[in-house]
Parts: sequence; structure tokens; C-alpha cells
Amino acid sequence: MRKSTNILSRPTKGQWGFMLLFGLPPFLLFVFITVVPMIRSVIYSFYAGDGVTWVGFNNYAALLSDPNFYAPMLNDFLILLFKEVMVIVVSVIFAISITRLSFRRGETSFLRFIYYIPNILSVVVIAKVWKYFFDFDLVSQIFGTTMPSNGWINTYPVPIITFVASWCGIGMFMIILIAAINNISKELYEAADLDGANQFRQLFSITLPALLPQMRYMAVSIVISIVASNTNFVKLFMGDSSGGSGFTVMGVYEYNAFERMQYETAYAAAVIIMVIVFAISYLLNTLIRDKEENQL
Amino acid sequence: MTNRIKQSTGTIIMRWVIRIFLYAWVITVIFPLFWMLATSLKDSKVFMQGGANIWNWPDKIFLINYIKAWAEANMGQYMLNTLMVVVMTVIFYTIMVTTTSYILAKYNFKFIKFFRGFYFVAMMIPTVLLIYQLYFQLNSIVGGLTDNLIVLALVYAVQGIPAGVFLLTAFVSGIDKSFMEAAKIDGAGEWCIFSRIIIPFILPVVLFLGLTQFMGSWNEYLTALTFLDSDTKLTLSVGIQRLITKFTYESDYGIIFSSLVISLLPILLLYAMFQKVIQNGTDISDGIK
Repeated sequence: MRKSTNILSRPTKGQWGFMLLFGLPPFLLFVFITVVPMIRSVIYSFYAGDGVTWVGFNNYAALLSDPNFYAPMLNDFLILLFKEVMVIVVSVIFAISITRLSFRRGETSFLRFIYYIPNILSVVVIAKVWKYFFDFDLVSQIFGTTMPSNGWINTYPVPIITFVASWCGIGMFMIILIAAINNISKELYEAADLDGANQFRQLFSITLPALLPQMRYMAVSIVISIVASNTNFVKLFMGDSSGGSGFTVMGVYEYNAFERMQYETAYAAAVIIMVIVFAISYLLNTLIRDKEENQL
Repeated sequence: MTNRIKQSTGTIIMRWVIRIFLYAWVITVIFPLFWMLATSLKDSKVFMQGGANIWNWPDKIFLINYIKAWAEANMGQYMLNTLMVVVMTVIFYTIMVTTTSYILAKYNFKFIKFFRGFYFVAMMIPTVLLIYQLYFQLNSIVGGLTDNLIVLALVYAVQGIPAGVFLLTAFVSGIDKSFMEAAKIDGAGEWCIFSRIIIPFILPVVLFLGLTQFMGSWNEYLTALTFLDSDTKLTLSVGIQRLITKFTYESDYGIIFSSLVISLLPILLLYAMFQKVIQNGTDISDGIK
């Protein structure tokens, strides 16, 4: 008799081969493409711009005493906060409406088809179309307002970036939520009906708790992608260089530092932003997971 | 009995109120795209004079915008480049993600635990902050290494590993061990188990991941912008951005909008074709738990 695989403590020859051939190369590539640049950022953040002179924490001190570093950080935080709320609230409401209101099948698939479309569009196309949408003042043509002299985007950058970024993020999350809702056992609802629980009661004690893992995934992936998304939108809305309205986010701050060859600032900024993103996503993950476990 | 009827009228009203919101969002999604299409068919002069009047469907359809965008603006070249990058990305990505997920899910050796944790934490790295560092690092090996479509594809594929592995590992773990054990007794090797047993089980999820990776790389902007230099190697997103800068000076919005539409067509076509795979998020949502 051969040993059963699940209690093997040592890999067989074939398993070693498979791991070395298929497991190791992606791992090494990943380390080379992502981890090494990250470690290099940490190391070089302690050196002067020439990369040779050790300066200790001076780069960080300089960065943290730069008032221009806090404005972009605040912008990122605000957009993150609004985007989390908007994306989660809207996609949860839409997903629940589509599944629980028992529309006809065709209508449901039509809505799902349309809602996903912004997810497949390129960020360049999205940003440009919306930029022209605001710059040519379609807003006033529709709502009868007048455009601020500075243009819509420069006057209300945070709400507009939040809106456009949420616009293209909702579809994907909604599909995940719809699938999760359809997976909730029908018996739970039937039992609740028998107990006389109304629709709202069922919503808060069956549907929403069952969606917590998906909401955790959404909340964390929004945090992880926020730096990239904001950098893209600010660069495409406000123009590529640092000029223009002066509105920046942390990613653009880092980019501009690189482009002006202020490497020491760029590296230190990258490290600080990464620590913040790690911290927030870890915190959110733990908080929501605790909530999930309390319910079981 | 009355109670029941009352409740159902309430439900009907609620259903219509919610329906209004649902269709308001449909309009929000479709309207900008519709406007883009309408503008791409307008003569630029008309467009500039009448403002961007949204209620006007172009009275004369100006297909010449599309011909100009394709011929003058190098769209064909950009599209070919993008297609090459994306196809390579999907091939690299699919191979790396499926094999890694198999190893992480089915090999229960002590050190595998470390790699599971590693990829989970790695998912949280905001790679967008590391583009310049990677650019310097690659160019320090061979000058101009970054101005290369294969390198770009490899970077896209590798950066996608942790998230892909996160979703896929959950599925591979779900495959019953007895299948693998039976195959082992019959003398099947690791590759045989992987390709004949694991892959068929996870194929729908792999297809989904491949598609989303395809769309993601097709649309990626910042890395391509930093890495690619030569005009013959630009991808669509970077190429379009350059083209827009150029034609904005000439106020030729017809060309700008038609090039935006052209860049969308392949991806919309793909979405329409594989709609079912993407819409069936059941598998994906299971993987998240």
C-alpha cells in the first residue's frame, strides 16, 4: 500500500520537481518585480539623493515637515472614505434590489449587463470622456446650472473623482454580491416568513450578515487600489505634469518627485504611503473579520 | 387577507421606486458612452460651434473621423502592440497562477504555509508606487530593457499573481482528494494530476481570471506610460493619451472621440462574447469567503 498523500510530511520526487519547475519561477519573478523594488525604496529612503550618503531619518523628517505632503494625503483619505461608502452602499442596495424584488429574468440580466460595462473600460477612456463631459459643461445643459469659472473638475475635484471612480467600480462588486445573495439558503427566508419577520427584518438579520465576507473583500480591495485609481484620475484629469490646478494625491506626489529627480523624497514618500495602505487594509480586514466571527 | 393585499401594494410601490433608481443608474452608465459615440460622428467644426450640444444627434454622419483616426493617429499600430502585450500577459498569468494555486492548495508541507502567507500579504502591496523603482532596476540590468513589450507583459502577469492565487486556491482546495489519490495509485505523475484532474475542475474560474486579466492589461496606463519610449511600441492607452494631447491643440475633437471609440470596440466585443462567463460570478464569490 502507498501512503495516502494527505499525511505525507515530505514531498516526493515528483512533487519537488513540480514545485521547482512551476512554483519557484513565479515566486522568484514576483520577488524580483515587486519585493525588491519595495526593499530598495526602504533602503534608499535613508540615503541622500545621490544614493551614497547615509542620512538616517532626515528624508522622512523633511517630508513630514513639508506642508505640501499633507494636502494630497488628505485628498486621498477623503476620496477613499467617500468611495468606500458610495461603492458599498450603492452596490449592496442594487444587488439586493435586483435579487430580492424578483424582477423578470430578462430585466435582471439586462441590468447586470449594463452595470458591468464601466468595469471593462480603460481608465484613459473613462477619464477622458468624463473630463470632456465636465469641461464642455454638459452638467449645465442637463441640470440648468452654470459652470464655475474655474471649471467643474478644478472646483470640485474630490466629489468628481469619487463619483467617476465609483462609477467604474460598482459593476464588478455587484456581480459578486448578487452571486452571494443567490447562494443564501432559501430555507432561511422561509423560516423567517413563518416567524412573521417582515422584509426589513429579513434584510438586516439574514441578507446583510451573510454578505459580510464579500463586503470585507470589497472594502479591502478599494483600499488597496485607491492609490493607483487616484493617481490615474488626477493625472488624466488635471494634466500629466505637476502644473494645473495644484490638486494632487499621494501617488502623484511620489511621481512628481521622481520626475523632478528628487529621489530621496520619492523613496521616503513611497515607504510612508505603503505603510499607510498596509495599515488601513490590515485594520479593515481584521475589524470586519471579527464582526463575522461574532455572528457565528 | 386584507393585511396581505395591503402588503403587496406596498411592495409594488417600493418595487417601482427602486426600479426608478436602478434605471437612473443605467442612464448614468450609458449616457457618457452614447455622447462619446455621437460626438465621434460629428464634424469637429460643428461640434465646436454648437458647443457640445448633447441633444443633437449629428445630422450628417462623419465617418471620416474614424478613417483619419486610424490612418493619421497610428491606431492600428497601437492596437497591434496592445494585443501582443495582452495575449502574452494572459498566457504567462494563467500558467503561473494555476500552478502556484495547485501547489499552495494541495501540498501540505510545512514550508508551504509560509508561501500562502506571503502571497496573501503580497496582495496588499500597492504596486503603482513601485513603477519607477522597477523602471530603474530593470534598466540598470540592460539599458532600455523596459521599452519592451515582453517585459511589460511579464510585469503585468507577475503583479497579478497574488490576487489570482487568492481566488483560485480556494477552488483547488475544494477538489476532493480522493480523485488525486486514485490517479496516484494508477501511477499518474504530478503534471498528469495537475493537467487532467485539477485543470478541468477549475476551468471556469481560470477563464474568468484570464478574461479579467485581459481587460485589466488592455486598459493599464501608468506602467505602460513609464516603461514605453519608442512610438512604435506604445500601447493603446498611452498612444491615445499622446494623440489627445496632439489633437487638442488642433481642436479636432472628432478624431479624439473616434479614437476613444475605436479603442473600446475590441474590449466591448470580448465582453459581449464572454458575457456569461463574467456575469456568472457564483464561482468568484465563493472564492472570497
